[in-house]
Amino acid sequence: MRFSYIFMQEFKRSIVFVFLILIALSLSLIAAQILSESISVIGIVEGSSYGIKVSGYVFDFQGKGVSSEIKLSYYNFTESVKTNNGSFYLYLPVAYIQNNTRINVIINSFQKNVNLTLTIPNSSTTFAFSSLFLKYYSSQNLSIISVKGKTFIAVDPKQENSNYTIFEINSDNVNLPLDVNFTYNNFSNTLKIPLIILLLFFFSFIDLMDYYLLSSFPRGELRQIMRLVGTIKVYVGKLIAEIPLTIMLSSLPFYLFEFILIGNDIALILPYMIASISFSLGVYGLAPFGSKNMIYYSVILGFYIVNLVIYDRYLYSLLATLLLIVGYIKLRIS
Amino acid sequence: MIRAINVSKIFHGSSAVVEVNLDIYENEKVGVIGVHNSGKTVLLQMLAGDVKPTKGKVYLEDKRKIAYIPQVPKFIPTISVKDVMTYVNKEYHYLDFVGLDGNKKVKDLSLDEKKRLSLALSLPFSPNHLIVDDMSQISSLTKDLIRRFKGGVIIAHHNLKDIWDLIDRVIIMSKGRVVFDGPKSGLLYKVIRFKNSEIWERENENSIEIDLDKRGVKYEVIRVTPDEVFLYFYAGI
Repeated sequence: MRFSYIFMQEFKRSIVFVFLILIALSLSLIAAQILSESISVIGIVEGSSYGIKVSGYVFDFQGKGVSSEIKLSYYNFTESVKTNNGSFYLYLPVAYIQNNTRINVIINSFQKNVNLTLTIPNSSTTFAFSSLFLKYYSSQNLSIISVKGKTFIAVDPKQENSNYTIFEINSDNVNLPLDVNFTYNNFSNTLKIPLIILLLFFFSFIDLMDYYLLSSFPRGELRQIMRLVGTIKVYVGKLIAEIPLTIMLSSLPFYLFEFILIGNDIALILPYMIASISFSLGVYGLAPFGSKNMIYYSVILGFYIVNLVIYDRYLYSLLATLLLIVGYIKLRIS
Repeated sequence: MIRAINVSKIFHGSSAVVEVNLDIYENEKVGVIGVHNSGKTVLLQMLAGDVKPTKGKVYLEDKRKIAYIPQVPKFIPTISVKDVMTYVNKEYHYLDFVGLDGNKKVKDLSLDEKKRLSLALSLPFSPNHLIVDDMSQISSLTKDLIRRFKGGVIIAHHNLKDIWDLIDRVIIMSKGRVVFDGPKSGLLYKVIRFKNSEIWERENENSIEIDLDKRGVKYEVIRVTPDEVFLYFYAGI
């Protein structure tokens, strides 16, 4: 019965920090809004003695075509075209000297202006640019950009048999250009950086909350209560009372970010949720070592966890939960 | 009964309590007296089961059966007295019993009120011992609660005057050691002053006066307080 009393008391105290969740949600929303102002472009360019041809597609973070103006320039020759649906085709009737010169493709849109400088090693090359992408790959014969729920692929038609229609892509009917050495590792993800910045913000929120909620351990404010009802009941009761808030702080803002920019892909934000929950449990274990020490050590712990996330070893961050036992032992012996 | 056998406590190489042996029964009212840094608080913490001795053993039945009031009780300052009580029990009538307003915030409590809150937390466990560390800034209400406590009482304080009416047995500590352990009557002395000399004699004895009367020496008998006895005989040992 007393365990529930402790839980309720601590839950009442932690509920005050719901405002941190609201701030975290606002941060996620702001980050998602800023990033949603991105544009991507994918296409192919061909240069020959007859002229330079560029075709492609300009789209936003959801894969929708963006109305824009595309300008192609080669020495003093320029050609521009306006598009409403994002698709464009440009032809500049000047002779192109292979391997030697560069062409500029300038895309002006409401969201962003992009200036691409391209060289054409052979007769043609694919190109891609994106300020926001989930998956990205670009080479001479193949360029891929994945944004929210959509993947755009540019291939050189001369290198690829495209005389048939693929309704469903699977490992049997994907036919990559011959000289593309393509593995999953070739993909990169720009969203990792904003997600890690958000993670660092949430770490500081967890620290702030824990400083107020857990300082009662080192200050001895719960000592008499622990003496009467037992250390384990107070330690665990307080921990369980804090968990709902931690889970909400670790999941809701990331989920909002994911919902706006990524779509329904929990797997992509799972590492960040696991990392922040692990951090929170780790900091809980550090609390009995003193309020200031808890903050100092949590900075070190935070950087370890962020590194684990960067190098896709986020499951190791769960080892931070071992600090819970360390904290309990410290509380018992002090 | 609380029993301490050859108990010592060492902090960072310096001894706070040295080889203390004590038996404290449930009906005893004991005062632990000593100057600052004499080891009273550490001894009480060990008797309450809060601190483990470095050497020796302290035997007690159950920690919860000992109501321990620390020198400066600490509670979460932003919550109410009632909330503090809820951590332990919902028997709020104990707050009324010790004269506390349940809605008052801990940060608004005086030291005396915090000590009473400490007591209230322990009362639901029907303690058979009450340990009070320091009686400074204690109100008559708290004193009365201690007086009416049914069970053994151990009070640590720096003088005897403040707790004289609450105790029967006195333990005097100096530099971590017990230098006096006996009934409080053992600290009742008188000073017999004659010519340029003075002799301290127990109050219930009069052999010095008889001897001086036989010799025809004029003398003066001065009553001394137990605190003067404590400071004269034991404080500096």
